[in-house]
Amino acid sequence: MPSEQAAIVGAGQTRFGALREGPRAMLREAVDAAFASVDRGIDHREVEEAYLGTLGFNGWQIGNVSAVLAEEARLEGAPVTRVENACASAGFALRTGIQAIESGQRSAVLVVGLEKMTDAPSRRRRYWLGVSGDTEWERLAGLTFAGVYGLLASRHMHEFGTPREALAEVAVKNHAHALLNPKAQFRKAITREEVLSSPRVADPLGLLDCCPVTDGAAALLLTSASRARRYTDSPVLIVGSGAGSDSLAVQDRASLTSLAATRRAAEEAFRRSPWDRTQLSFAELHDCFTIAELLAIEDLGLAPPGGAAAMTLAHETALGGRLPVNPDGGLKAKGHPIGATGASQAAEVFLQLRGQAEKRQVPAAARALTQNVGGSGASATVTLFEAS
Amino acid sequence: MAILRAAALAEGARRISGEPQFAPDEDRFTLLVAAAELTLGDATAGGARRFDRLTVWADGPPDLPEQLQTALGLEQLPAHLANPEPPAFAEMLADPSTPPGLHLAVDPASGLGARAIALQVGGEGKGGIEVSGIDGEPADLPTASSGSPIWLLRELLREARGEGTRVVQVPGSRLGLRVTRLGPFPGETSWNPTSSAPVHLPSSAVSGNEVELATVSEGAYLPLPTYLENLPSRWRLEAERCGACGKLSFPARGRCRHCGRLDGLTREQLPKSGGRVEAVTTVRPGAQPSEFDFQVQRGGAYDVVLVRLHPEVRVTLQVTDTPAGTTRIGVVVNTALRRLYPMEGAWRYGRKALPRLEAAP
Repeated sequence: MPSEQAAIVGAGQTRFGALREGPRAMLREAVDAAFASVDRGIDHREVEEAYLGTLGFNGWQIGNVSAVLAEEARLEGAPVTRVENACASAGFALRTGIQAIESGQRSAVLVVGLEKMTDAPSRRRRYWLGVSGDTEWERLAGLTFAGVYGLLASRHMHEFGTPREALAEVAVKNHAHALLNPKAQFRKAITREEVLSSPRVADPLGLLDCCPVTDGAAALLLTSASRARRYTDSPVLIVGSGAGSDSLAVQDRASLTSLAATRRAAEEAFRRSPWDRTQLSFAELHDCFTIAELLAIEDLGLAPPGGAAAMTLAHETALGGRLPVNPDGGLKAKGHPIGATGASQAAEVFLQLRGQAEKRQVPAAARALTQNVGGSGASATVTLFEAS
Repeated sequence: MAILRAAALAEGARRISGEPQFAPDEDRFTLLVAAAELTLGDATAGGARRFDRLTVWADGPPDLPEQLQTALGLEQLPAHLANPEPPAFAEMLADPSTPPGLHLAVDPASGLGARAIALQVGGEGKGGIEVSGIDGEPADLPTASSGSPIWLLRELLREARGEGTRVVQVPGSRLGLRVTRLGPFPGETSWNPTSSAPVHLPSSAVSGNEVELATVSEGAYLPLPTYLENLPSRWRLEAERCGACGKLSFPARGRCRHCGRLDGLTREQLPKSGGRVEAVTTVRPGAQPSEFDFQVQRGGAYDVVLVRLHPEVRVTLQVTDTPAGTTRIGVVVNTALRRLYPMEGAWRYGRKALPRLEAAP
């Protein structure tokens, strides 16, 4: 068992979307927002170490990007490490921060996620969108992630009879949620018919089944739970952290309808948790493509295999339903700045569990889960949170 | 294996005069490989035929024989380039002084046709297949539902074992292919001449195949040495069988994926045909990796499949010679070596999937 429990005492993020600001300004805005959210304040010199999740999109400062965070967060010499696991970079940065606290080595750390994606021409962007897949086989067959998830969707529909409408409903729901989130990239309701008739990207997935290209940054301030009360009366406690890995290429996996990395991460996270998956108030899941939300619901044990479609079509995962999923709009509509997503998910949990999510507030939210996936499932983290 | 000089592979991409004849992902190299695979038969049955040398009738490049040895798994054979003037294979068959071996030739007329012949060592007779480009009038020629000429030839030869010459021609053009099955291979019991169904080639199966090789792809960078590291797996689907746990690993990486053993691994050839599609997607323009831009600009969307090639092995393959959006889960596919994309002045090659030809009603 860990010697300490970790808690979030502050969280903040930029708006998500096509931002005018550059990476430095985005880092600064997210970090400043996290500091500003600490109820009784925290001095930046109290941060002992920081972890930055980023893929390094468009080649901006591929190496030593940690130093940029150190400057913009005014860390004054505190060590910073960049953590990279593609789309799960910030999920793993958060996990690293949790481990630093739980081990007792650090009592206050900063976790940041960052990606600047919209400032490059589309050809260069498509280059970066493919560098986290298997470059020796999948990429040589002409696949980017849309194609890989298209393959997974085709198999899920084939094995479980998953209706195309269930995929569309994930997008409809997450767009409806994003309408209530002022930080979201797409604040526009869409209909099932619009999703179904959107231009095909990688069949069966259409344009409105895919998350957008997004700029964004998010920051979290973590301390030990014992120290957290210095800064706030309502820290968000971390009660479970799990992670897993899998083969890089989908062709090497036993199952095409399940991500083993998510399953393993969930198993580890729930092993330590004082409560089980039936007691969750809501979940923040990695819906980079609509099929991914269905896979996540099933891999996390929130529905039996093949059962996520019916749950979604019955609106059980919508705000007001039995188990709201992605109340912030998810990757689909809030946006998916690759390296920032895992931190932004936790930032949403911070608001929800403190009753500060305004129009999208999950009633009586007390227990939450975030799931962050790297690529097509080569890595995944699951983190469990509880209101204090 | 020596590091191959990949620049040499670019040779086959040269522009030809007149109407291009083959799909955009075919060139002289892939046609030579396809012709040789036709001759050798599927790897699962190919063990019975043995050759003691490989002769390539072409005007170079000098490492073409080595490239072909790698693609065909014939590294143990002595191989050499011969006089580029290709022999008359029918005459070679009849001539008792013809040395046994696998003879491959490039059709000099177009630079894109490929001819192959196989002569068995120590057998009672000689057998072979000749594949060559033709230039004739469209007439009452066989037609097929879809696919490129080489693929159709493979299918024709698979289904109809007729002796003599078969011709496939592109409607409305003077270009086509001629296949001559010269006789049974020694020991072959299924030689059963019958007539084959008509074959029709759609014009979509043919388009230009020239591309500016100077264009350096902005795609995911797979450095040349890494690409060349495991050509036996890339080009001919070679796997490794573990002597300790008995399981198969693909691609071959010198370590058992299952028990971790580094020793006691033996190379094993996966079937190159007869795989079943387990998942499929159609990659639409804009969703392709940037290195496939040239292909999409020319041919539009393409299908990609996960194929169960062996009970223990699933492989990701692009589908070729087939209209996008027509591949279904459960269909059976064959594979062929094709061009993937140009990078740093040379073509990268790999295997693609070709859904089996459905018999015309």
